Amino acid sequence: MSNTSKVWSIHSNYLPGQVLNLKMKENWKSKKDSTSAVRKDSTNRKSIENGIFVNGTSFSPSQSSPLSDVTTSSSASHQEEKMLSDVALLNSMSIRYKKFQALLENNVIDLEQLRKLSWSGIPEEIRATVWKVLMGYLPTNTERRDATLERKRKEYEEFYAQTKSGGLDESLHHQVRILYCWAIRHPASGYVQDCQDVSNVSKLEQDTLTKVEADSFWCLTKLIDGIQDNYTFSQPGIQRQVARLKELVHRVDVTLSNHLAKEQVEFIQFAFRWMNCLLMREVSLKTTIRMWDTYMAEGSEGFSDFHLYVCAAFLCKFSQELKKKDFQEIMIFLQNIPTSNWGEKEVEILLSEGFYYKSLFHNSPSHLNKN
Amino acid sequence: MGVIQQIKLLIIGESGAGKSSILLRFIDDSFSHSFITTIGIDFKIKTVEIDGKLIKLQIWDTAGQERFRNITNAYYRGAMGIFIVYDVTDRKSFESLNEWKRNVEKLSTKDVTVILIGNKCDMESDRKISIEEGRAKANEFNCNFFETSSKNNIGIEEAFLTMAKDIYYRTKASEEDAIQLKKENVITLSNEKSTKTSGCC
Repeated sequence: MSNTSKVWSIHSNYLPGQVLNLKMKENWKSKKDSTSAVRKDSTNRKSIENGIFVNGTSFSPSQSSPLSDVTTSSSASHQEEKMLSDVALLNSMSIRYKKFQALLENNVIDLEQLRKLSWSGIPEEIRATVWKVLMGYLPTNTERRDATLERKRKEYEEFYAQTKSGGLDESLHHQVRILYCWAIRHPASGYVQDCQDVSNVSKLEQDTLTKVEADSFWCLTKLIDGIQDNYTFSQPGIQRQVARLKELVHRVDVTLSNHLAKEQVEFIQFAFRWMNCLLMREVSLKTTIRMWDTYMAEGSEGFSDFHLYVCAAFLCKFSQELKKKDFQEIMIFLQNIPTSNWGEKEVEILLSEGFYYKSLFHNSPSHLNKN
Repeated sequence: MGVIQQIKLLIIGESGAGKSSILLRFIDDSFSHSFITTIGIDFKIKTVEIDGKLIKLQIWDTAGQERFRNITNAYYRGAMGIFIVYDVTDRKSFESLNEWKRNVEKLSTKDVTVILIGNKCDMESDRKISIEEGRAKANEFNCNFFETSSKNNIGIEEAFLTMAKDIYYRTKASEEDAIQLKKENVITLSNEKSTKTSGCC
């Protein structure tokens, strides 16, 4: 026990996905041979430090099968019950993971299937790859992948060279760098999910860093493509979205809509930020990333249209509270919406509600017209 | 003792001048080193006491970035007081003050109270704008001037209280004028009425 708990404490520094992964191995290994578990885990740790885990390939489904050993031999002790629930969770994660893995292993990835699966969340270990496929950056045809990536990365390098000579907008280039640095500092984001802090990243080869920068640039470009007029002069995209949100809320929750009107709360006063930052200021980064799994699965309009329906669901979620408040209380509340305790379940309910509104009102614009 | 008056304030100035930090210090008495840019507009309230009366300050904090002007410009009209903030370590933020002042003249009500704030005065070694230069600008604008530091909590409470008092006394005075005016009107009207009546008979 002392041996395994030591291993556990070392790894508790790593990210949730990684921790669970290691813990699972630890559970069954400890039944048989705790020393080998230590050995196995220290190899993993080493590879993390070497930056090999960048795309998270450590989660091998074969490792999960010995879990049944634990299940059969367990007694009713408290600790083991806890372990059993962990095992159940890990099993379901493992099944989900296998489904994704099976899809990704095909020569030509079935994008429709991948979308369906991703809608309900993508395992952390493969999120970086799946996002790239969903965004259309990584070709679904695996044979074309290397060539495409090489071409795109080279293209970016040329941009980079132009920047140095003043060709490309320099501030744009800096922004990519800044965004990337930001991504490193927020370890839940795709590329660097296994790097605990910046120091780990510094061990990455310069070559890897350049590739990551190029990929980030192209993925960002793809993402912004869909919501470009949110960020042009006077931000017409956002103005339109806010107006649509107002109409939508009037349809789905007329008492809330009337109350906001009575208190003279303008939607632009709070929803501008919801559109501009895609709710990132309102929910945690972890929640945002989970939401983006679904947005990407929704296709090209995920970040525009689907986001609108999610925003409506988000506002209506707090309808009861809002209706009891006056102008000032509403404004204060909407600037600090209580989502800090949100987990997987809350996000998924929100996304489902968004989907529900979308199926009710999308492609039926007359439903939105005020009489 | 209930709140007797509500005062609407606005904070404007270049991005990064420290507008949100000033507000955070005034509202929460705290400071954060991380820079989180304001998107569009933020809103805070705080109640202060003037002459034993409770005054509720409703403060709108704006984004300094040019691209949000469309949104933020809409808030000038309702403001009774406006803080124009620059960063004493950043000459660019000082040089843009005239433009901010023009915006105030164009968009806000005529009798709005303006206060000029030179923020980050704790960063003495990085200072680019002397306190004299700041004062001269305030004279030019014909407004009050404070140097502040959100980090070291210098000048912020004073700036807000000066603003609140100025507006409180100004509106109180004009209310008294209005009451006086009303009384005079009543008298004139009744006089008129009486003369008319007499004329009629």
